[in-house]
Amino acid sequence: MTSLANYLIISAILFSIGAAGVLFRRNAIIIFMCIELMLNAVNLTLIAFSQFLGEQSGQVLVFFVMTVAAAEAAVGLAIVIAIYRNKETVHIDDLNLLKG
Amino acid sequence: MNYNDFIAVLPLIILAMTGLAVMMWDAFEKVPSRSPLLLTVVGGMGAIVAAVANLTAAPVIAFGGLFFSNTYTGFFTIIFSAAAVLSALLSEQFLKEREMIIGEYCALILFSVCGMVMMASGANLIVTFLGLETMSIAFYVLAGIFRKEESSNEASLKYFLLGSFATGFFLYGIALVYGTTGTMNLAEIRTIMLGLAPKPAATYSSLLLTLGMLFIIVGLAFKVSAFPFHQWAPDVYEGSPTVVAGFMSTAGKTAAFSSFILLFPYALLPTAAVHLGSEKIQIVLAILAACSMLYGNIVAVSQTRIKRMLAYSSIAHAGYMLLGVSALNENGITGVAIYSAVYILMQISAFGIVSVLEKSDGNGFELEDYVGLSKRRPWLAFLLAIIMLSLAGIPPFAGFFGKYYLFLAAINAGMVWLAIVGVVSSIIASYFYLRVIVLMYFRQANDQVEVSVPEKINTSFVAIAFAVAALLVLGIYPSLLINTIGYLFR
Amino acid sequence: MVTRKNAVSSALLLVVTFCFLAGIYLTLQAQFLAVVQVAVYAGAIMVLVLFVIMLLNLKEERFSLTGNWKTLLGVLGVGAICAQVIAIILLSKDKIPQTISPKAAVQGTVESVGMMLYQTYAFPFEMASLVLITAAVGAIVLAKKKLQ
Repeated sequence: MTSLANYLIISAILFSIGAAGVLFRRNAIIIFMCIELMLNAVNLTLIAFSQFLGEQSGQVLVFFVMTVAAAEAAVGLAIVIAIYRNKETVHIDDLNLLKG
Repeated sequence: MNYNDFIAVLPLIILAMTGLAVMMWDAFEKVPSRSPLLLTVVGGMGAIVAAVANLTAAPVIAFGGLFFSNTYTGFFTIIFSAAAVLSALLSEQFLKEREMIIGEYCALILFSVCGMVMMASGANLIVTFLGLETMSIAFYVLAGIFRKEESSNEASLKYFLLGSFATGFFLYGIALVYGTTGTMNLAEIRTIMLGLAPKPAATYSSLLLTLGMLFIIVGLAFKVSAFPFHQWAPDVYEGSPTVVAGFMSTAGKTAAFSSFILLFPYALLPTAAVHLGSEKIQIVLAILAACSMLYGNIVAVSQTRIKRMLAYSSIAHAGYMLLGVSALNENGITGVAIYSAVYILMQISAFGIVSVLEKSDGNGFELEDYVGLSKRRPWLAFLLAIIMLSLAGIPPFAGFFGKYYLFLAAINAGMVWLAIVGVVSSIIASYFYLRVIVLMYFRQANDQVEVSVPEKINTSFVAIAFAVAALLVLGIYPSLLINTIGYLFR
Repeated sequence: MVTRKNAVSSALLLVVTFCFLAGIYLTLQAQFLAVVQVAVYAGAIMVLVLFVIMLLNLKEERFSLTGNWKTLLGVLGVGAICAQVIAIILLSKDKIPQTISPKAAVQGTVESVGMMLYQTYAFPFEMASLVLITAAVGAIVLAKKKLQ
């Protein structure tokens, strides 16, 4: 039987991979995917705690996180499309109007 | 679930229903008109009335421990709805000039206020999280609502990416807190923290819990744009539509602070908590507050564009409110509440004036454009001068009393150094606020012909005048607000 | 997934990751969430992402791990935080539950999650619809070709 600590460590590693991706990738869509990975890592933590504690609200929160992730995906991709229409790029280094 | 539960969430229901009504109205209207704005104002007023009526009701936790309804949440509901009403009034002019879609704009403002109310009243981490997301998603869209303008697009993308990154941290914090305390319910977390509850099935690990709190602080500090997590704020506020920037930087921030208070001084770090790490967390909060105050004000001094200047100063204002949170005492909570109300009035009307003066080609943001404003638009210059004095915290104006309470709270909590940092940074701040007044009144524009433009009485002007009047009244009779809040928090 | 230059292969690898995560949820006896994970994440969200990637016809991305000292610093920082978190988890290993709760098998089912959602958490469930409508309105406002 896998112990709770193992699940938590996997989740911490996944979270860090996602966070590192957000920091060094330059394509807005891939950054968004890295954020999804972070949310999934958190979901794993929540489910693991919920099942080991025998308390259900963690799983309910996971359900809501999935809802919110879907909503964020819709809005985020719409923003990406809007920006692509104007600038023909989603590379965040090319977006430099607001600096200073 | 009974009748009283629905009374408790009545302001929320009114706001959500108005949002839906606005969209339906807009869909069936043949000719685009301004009625959605009117509906928004009516809905916001309705929510205020409902919240005021709820103030006298007995405090309850509705829906079996999910939703606080007490004077604290009532107070924040009132100021969020008021911010929505002010923004709707300020938007009229500026949406007309840009030929914008009004219906969706109003609906999004109302939905974001729903999210804020949920944040201020969430008695369960799930509700807090949903509220935060409702608010943030509406803000991502509002920031980018000028779809044709590249700066608006970029602001929206930047806000979206960094905002959801922060959400990840906030959520990880929630997961760890849940894992160590075994509950999502804030009232239960409070009893566990006070050592009153029999320990949950899990023996509780204070290291993991501290880590969870730190992650929650990171997530919320992003949302309030406190110092090391502030990079997005100036860019986003500069790029988004001016009135939206005003709304985001006031209502959005105070909403994050309202849940900061529920999470920290109320649930996770109540006074006399048994949790070992609580002093360290308090120091972390205090350092964040000190850095935001100093950084925001020092950088704002060197700005030449008014929107960026206001954006940087909003980082400093977040620092002042964070100071109140880090005091972790009653005075701190009162101070944050007073300052939230005053800050919303000051900052929304400051951004409102900027939006009135901006030109439809996107110019008019340089500080140089304000030279000699007292000759061209005497009334507007007068109102802006009062707002600047209040933002600087000069005594007879309301901003002063907000700051006074916050600094007092820090001293009560034994953090005199923090109060001193606060005072020093306010002195730095008064330099760039007063500079605007000097530019408007004491400098002559060289190449322009000074023509005084008669002020048109439109909705923006009414909203700004109303906010300034409220600032003056609260400044001269601070006891009005302070007594009300004192009564509220008892 | 985070090191692929091509966005499409990144996305497909992320789908694989999500399916593996669903498998992990099954080992935790959370059947309902495992199914939702595959249906919503791997199925709905990633299909949307893939659609947009194909629609935009992206060029290959220029990035490098070591090119910019700021990103390098950030990535090192994340590594340090990760190590710290793992250390804390290992330190508090004895203070967290050791075995899976006997209730786990029951509370992972559709029935019991459904009961929670529609009874105890009916209010946030309704509020989640606010998130969704906000997102729907927002996505249309931002991405629609012509307004009015």
